[in-house]
Amino acid sequence: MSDRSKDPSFPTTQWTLISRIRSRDASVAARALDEICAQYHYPLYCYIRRRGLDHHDAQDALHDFLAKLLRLETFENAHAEKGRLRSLLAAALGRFLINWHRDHARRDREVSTDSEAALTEAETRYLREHFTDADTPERVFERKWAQELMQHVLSRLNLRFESNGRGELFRALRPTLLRGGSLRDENADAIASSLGMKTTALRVANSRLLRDYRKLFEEEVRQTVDLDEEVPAEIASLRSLFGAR
Amino acid sequence: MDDSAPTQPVPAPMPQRHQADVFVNESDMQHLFNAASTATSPSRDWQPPTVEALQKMLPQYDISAFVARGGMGVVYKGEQRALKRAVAIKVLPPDIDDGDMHFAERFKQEAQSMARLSHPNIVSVFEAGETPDGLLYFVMEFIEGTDVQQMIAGEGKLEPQHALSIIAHVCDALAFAHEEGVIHRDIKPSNIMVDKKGRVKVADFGLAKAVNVESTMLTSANVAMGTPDFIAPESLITGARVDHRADLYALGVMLYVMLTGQIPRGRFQMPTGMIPKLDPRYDAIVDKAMQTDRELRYASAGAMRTDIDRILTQPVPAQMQTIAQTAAGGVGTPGSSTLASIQRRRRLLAAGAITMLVVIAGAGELLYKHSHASHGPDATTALKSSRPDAIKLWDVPEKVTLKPGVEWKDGALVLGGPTWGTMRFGEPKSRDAIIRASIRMNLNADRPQIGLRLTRPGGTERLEDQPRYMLGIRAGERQVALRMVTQGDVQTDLQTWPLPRAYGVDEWARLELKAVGDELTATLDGQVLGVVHNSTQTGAGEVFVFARANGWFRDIEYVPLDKSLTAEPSPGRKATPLEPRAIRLWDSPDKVPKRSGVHWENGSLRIDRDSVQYYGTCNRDAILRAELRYNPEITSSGLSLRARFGDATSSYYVFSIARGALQISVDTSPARAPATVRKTLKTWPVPASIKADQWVQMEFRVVGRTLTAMLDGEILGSVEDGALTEAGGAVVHSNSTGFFRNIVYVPLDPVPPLEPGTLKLWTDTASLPAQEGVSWQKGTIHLQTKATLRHNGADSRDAILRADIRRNPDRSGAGIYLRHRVDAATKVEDCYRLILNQPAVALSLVHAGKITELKSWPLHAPATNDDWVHLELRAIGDTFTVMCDGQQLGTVKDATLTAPGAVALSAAADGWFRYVTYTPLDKPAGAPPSKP
Repeated sequence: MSDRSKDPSFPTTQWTLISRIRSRDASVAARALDEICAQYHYPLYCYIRRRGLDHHDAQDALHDFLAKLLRLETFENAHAEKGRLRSLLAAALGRFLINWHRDHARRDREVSTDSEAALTEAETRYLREHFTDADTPERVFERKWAQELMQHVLSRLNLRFESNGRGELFRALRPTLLRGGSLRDENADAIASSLGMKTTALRVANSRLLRDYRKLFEEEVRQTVDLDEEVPAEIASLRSLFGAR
Repeated sequence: MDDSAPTQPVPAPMPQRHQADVFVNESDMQHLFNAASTATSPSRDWQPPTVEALQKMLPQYDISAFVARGGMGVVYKGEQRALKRAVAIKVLPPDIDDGDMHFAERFKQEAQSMARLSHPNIVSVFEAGETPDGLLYFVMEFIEGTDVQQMIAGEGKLEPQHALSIIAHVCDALAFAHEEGVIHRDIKPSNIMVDKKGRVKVADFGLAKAVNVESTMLTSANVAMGTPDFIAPESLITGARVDHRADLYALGVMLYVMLTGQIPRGRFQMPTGMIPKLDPRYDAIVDKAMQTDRELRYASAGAMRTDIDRILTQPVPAQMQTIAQTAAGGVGTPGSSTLASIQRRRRLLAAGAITMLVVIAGAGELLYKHSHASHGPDATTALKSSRPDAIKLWDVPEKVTLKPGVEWKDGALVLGGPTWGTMRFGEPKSRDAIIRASIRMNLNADRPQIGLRLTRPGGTERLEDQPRYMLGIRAGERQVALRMVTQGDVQTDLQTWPLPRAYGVDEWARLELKAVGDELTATLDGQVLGVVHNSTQTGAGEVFVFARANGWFRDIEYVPLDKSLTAEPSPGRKATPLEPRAIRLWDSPDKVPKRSGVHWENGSLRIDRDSVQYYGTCNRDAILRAELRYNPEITSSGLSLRARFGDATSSYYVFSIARGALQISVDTSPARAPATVRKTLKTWPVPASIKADQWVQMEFRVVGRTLTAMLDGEILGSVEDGALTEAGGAVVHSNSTGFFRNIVYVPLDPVPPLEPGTLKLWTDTASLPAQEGVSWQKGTIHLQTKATLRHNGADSRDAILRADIRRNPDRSGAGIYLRHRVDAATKVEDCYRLILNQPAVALSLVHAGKITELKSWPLHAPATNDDWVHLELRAIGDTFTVMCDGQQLGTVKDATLTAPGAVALSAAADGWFRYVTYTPLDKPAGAPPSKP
């Protein structure tokens, strides 16, 4: 029931994450934050690491930040603000880190209560990234944000195909999607025959997949902005993060 | 919990957060964005069939040429062989169905209604179907000529007279189609054809409905491509029922575009402001057609046509001009105002201006016969109440609370004012009810209305946010209108009836609205106007009277008809005493959560498409019992047990009632799944003895693997299932509107035998210390990051400490401490701790600021969210035994800390604990501790 929007038995109005975190109902807000924390944990982690904290501190700071979020403290004054979830979170985290630094600057590293033999999943992933000097914390955050969002879109798309028994089709068309979605430069006949389909049917299937993908993508983005009208601008802005470098 | 939920279990995959098979690399991102944007024209990969290919598919036609490709398909020219007539064949792109399985069916239905429309101004449809390749097509009259879009493109703008005559023909086409019950939904210049002889033909009737243009328009991709300029505002409100007036709006926009060559956006000028010497009546037509509130638009295409005809046939009358200019923004600045300001002025002018228009508009249009003018408010005697159970409302001045918009005059309630006036009454609230009142007929009366089922979601006081049904008199249109208001102030006409006779000025008419179930009956002066079925507002609500201005009401009566108000139990139910451990849930208004979907109403809990959950004591075995007001229409209402939900997944056992059937099911929603997967375990029909609105008692017992359903104290049956074995919460839900009362929860979990001297720690919210970072959440103890919860009662060296800890891969590091001592001076902690540190359980020694792991054991199953692990740590002398879920993991010897200490819970990140027990094993004080 944490995910009631996807549960037809307990339907709610379709809210965006932003309106849900601003909900007066604390449990609604907490669930929305939970969702945000789960989905955007890694971009936030990258942002903190990029701000120069080592991975112990980054982990601690992120835990503290998320704990604070979940106590609903950070967004209380976000009611008046309009905007994108992405900017809201980045701004909140930025503010938080300033104070966190001040409070923790002089403390000696406490003995962590965990045995630190293993790196966290986030750190392991972070170490595999190749950031350049041009990648500011903000930019890294935004790029990873877009990546998590896209990841989520593809997972949902995959799930949708799997649950309709068309998982094989999705696996066959996924490489095409990852190359931009067009079958023009693909060996459509080979893909079609591997699936036992006609090529025309495959083209139809591909355009349906693209349409579903686009819808899910817009739905996901819609979750992170205030108004429908902001969706195209947000997509454009996310897109600009991945221009030629 | 929809009927359409699959009854067969669907093995839905459980995606992990970073599912390996769809992992996105940074290098993929640019391509994925490309795919997202190029996909906005999903037909781009579609190669329409060649003339030859289409010929093969449709041998009954001679296909000669490819004519054009447009947004909604490709058009070919051909000839129908049998009849030798020229046809246009439109082939729709394959993805137009938008994944909708029923699209082809709906398309064919729409094609049938298109084919029925035979009118000189409508492009005839001859045939529709599906090619062997699965492409949808339809065959229509071939028009040799152009369309209005091209005309505007070619000429910049059209001559006003020309534009108006085109619009007049389109009005005729629309009037005809609307009469046939077909709404075009996509009126725009490119859909209006003009043939070589100048005949106007409207194309693609109803196609928009088949392809659901509104929903397509709403996607942000379309918004990005340009505002949906011809779409009426109400079409953009999800769920609003679009009616014929949406076409009239589009027609208004089209007239504007034809006249000015520009699309009206934002603060646009009226046509007279852009075209010198234009007849101001054009402005009035555009303005009236383009009203945001469709109530203010033309009521029909015919009415619009009438106004157009006046311009086409009559020279500008001086008086008319004055009024039109007044309405269009003042004589001084004709055409310079925006629609918004027109509307504002119009509202101020409302009654007066309408009167003048009616009077000036000419003979034969007078609504009122002045011969009846003598009927004053005091001329008739007060009506006797027709029913003994009727509640008289506001019949004496003492009962009327004067407030803005509400007055008492000459023995009547007078509503209206600068904005509006209303009176509401809601004790008791009733779903089924009659509201009736005498209303004074007068041209000045602006929308006098009576209404019922007014609800206040979330307790809102704003009339705009209160859904309701209302029946009112529209003086201007000589109509009685039954309307529905849904949340967000979306107003929909359910039905209108012409006034059955002419009323004299100030004559009183008796209006009545009766609602029983989904049946709404409108009555005027004892004569039933009509019956309308609507099931949008099905809950009980308040009754009200309302008027914008000059609404005179008297003899207002309210008859609540709900049987539920008498609260009779279903016959034959035995009163049973409550179980000793029973907990009453949501049994008073203050215990009902404050949410829009949950209300306290007439002594029962009303749930509208929502659910309420109880996690006070999470139990595996339990009984949940409630009385439910039976409604055969209800889509699903019922009781759930072992309800668990976590970050990603949820699951419940459900006993529900839905459309005449009772059933036990197990509902799960896998992570990120689009829908709940329902597996029905057993169903029973609802016994015939149970009637609508009767209260039935549903009882759901879940014990071990046995699920038992009971109705009115009788066992319906049991079913065995092993899908959900974990303790969980209790939920009452309704998928439509459900009423519940006497909700009782009985925890049945067996109490495990515990060693003598065992202390149960922190068993409820009251036993938790007021400590920062420690809280009680849904039957569990929640520790925030780095919080430690210490039991300061009995320090013991030897002890057993047990607790359930929630597994959560993202928040590892929750654990239990024994022999916990804190140096008062240095704050250095000493203890033995057992930590659930995914994916292992680790026993460590914390001493002198250092942590030494003594041993760790892998967990027995891969980590999933929200599973509970039962950990047990026994310390006896230097021997530490670790148990997990009843199995011994191992034993460790260590003799560093030998002093007695406290027990504690701790969490590195968030941690959840429950069922914490502590068994101190030390001999009574004074006895020497055993040698390590």
